[in-house]
Amino acid sequence: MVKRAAAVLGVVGLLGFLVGGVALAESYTFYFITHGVLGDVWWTPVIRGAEDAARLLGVKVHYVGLERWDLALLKANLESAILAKPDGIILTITSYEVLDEPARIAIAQGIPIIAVNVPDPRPKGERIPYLAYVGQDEFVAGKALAERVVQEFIPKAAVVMITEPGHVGLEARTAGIKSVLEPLGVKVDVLDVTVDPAQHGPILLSYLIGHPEVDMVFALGPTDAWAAVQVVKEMGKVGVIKTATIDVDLKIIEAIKEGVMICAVAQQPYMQGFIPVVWLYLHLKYGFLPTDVLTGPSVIDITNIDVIMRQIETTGGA
Amino acid sequence: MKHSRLLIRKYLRSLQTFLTVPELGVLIAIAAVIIIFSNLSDKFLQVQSFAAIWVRAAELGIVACGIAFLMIAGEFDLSVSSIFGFVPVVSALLMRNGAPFWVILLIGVGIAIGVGLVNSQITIRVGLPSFITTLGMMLFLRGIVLALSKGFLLPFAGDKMAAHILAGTITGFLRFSAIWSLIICGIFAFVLTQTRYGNWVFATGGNRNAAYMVGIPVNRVKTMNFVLCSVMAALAGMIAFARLGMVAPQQGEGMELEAIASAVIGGCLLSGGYGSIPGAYLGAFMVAMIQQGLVLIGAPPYWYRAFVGFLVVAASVLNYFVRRGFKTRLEER
Repeated sequence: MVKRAAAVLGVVGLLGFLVGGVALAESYTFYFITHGVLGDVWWTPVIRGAEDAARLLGVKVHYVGLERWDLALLKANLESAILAKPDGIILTITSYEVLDEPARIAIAQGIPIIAVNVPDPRPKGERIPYLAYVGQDEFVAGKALAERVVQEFIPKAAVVMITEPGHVGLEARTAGIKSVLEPLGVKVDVLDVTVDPAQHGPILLSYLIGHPEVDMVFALGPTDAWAAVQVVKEMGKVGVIKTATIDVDLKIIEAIKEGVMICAVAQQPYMQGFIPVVWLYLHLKYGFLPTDVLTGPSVIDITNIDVIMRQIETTGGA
Repeated sequence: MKHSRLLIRKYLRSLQTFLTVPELGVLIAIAAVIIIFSNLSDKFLQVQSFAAIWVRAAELGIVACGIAFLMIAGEFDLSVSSIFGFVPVVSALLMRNGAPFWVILLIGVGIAIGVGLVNSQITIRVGLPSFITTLGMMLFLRGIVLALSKGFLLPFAGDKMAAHILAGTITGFLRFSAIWSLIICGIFAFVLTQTRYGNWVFATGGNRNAAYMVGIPVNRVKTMNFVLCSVMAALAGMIAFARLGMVAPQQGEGMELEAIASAVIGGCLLSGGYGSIPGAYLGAFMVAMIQQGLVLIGAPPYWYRAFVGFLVVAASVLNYFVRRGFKTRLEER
């Protein structure tokens, strides 16, 4: 009996120890709820940005990512956060179908929301009435990328590698690219390279062999960009077929240095953590009305690589 | 003097009875979780918070009831997580083509029964461990889900009324899905403890050969439980689909282990023959409490797995002592 009771007490004690000392009172408490799966390094600079802003302003920010990719969990996390009655919520509108209801409950309870990374794509009257959006406009990103390419040269024909046709963000990037090139009379093909990174290269290679007039390849994300760089190198067409992409990592910086890639655009994720916290603070403390902030596109080419490298080294990404 | 000694003895006896319920481990674990989180957040014990936890627990709870029922019969099923995603994805595609809801329901249940039959027949006739059979089924179905959905989210384009009945809002954060889960838990618990079939389930899992010798159709019991387990996973998947208004191809990934963890926390033995349906349901409830509690106190969700892992072992250790108490009590008789 005594042993059993001791075991129970031990269990309770250990659990208390595990979560002890978390709750500390600070001026404001914000929840930062995203679909970023824990361990996905893209979100590291976002979290760091939010933490830095919280420290500077003396507010408390609870970052809640997903333990695994699961929209039900995202919704439940938002609902739990509402129950905690925070002073503000920062939220990725990953799926407005799923998040519409709880987000409106939060706003009705007087908890302001700032959308981050993914906005509600619906027109202003229908969408979730959040204060502002902080992130990238995918159409603008595609447009900026193509505009930088056009500065370099006017392609004879171009191709856009798309991993998921129909994906709202990727289609918007593609539309942005087309909006610059098509008025110039450049034919833009869209090539489905599938979500499987192992397929990107072979599909692009077959396409380029069949379309020798194409001298410009656009990628829309890291895995297709790596494949594009590799294919152009393997074909021995560096300088003949040029490439450009959206989102940046060290491999892509390397390709820009080598001249295989003209440019890339980045959305500067650290700012997507930092700015929403600042906005909520200014809103609550001084009555500022937040406005949308586009954290990108920042166009990266050979001229500003050093600056971007500093961003990657200090914040963990660009 | 003699009187008071008798009284103490009587008191000890009833204490011993309490200490031998299979749900004791999970009850103590829940008490511990409540004590911890309510101390760290004054919002944890509110009615709305309870409703949100219950809704969070509903789908896992339904799956856990099916899993526990099967585990008590001595088998288990990893493919529940894929059925949980597969049936809603097929339904979404049927909805897109304008199929009426009753057709969708029939096809969904039909698929679940089919999967349960395949799992059970391969396990029983070939003699493969159900771990292997259902692991294969889990991977196979998930592959089909990804191929069918092409990786996209699919909307719930069907009957609004059906969605409301499955998982509509009753009040605040409380939804019908919570009520359904409780009813299902009640039915399974009743069948397991109050009917002849329940006895067969215990006997099949406890000692298959002895059960066979006394004329229990052990293979039929196992087949039936595999099928029921699949159907529960399909039902829970449809509830999640209705609740969210869409289904992602990843829906349910990782859920199989959470369901088994819930059943084990709730007193089920991996080897079969022992366990409790309310225990498994409470196990799922506790998993939801931890998820909710961690968000409420603002702890990073990194802790979630550590917490559940710790409680699986802690509750199992407690359950071990409970069973030992149960055995000694039997011997006393």
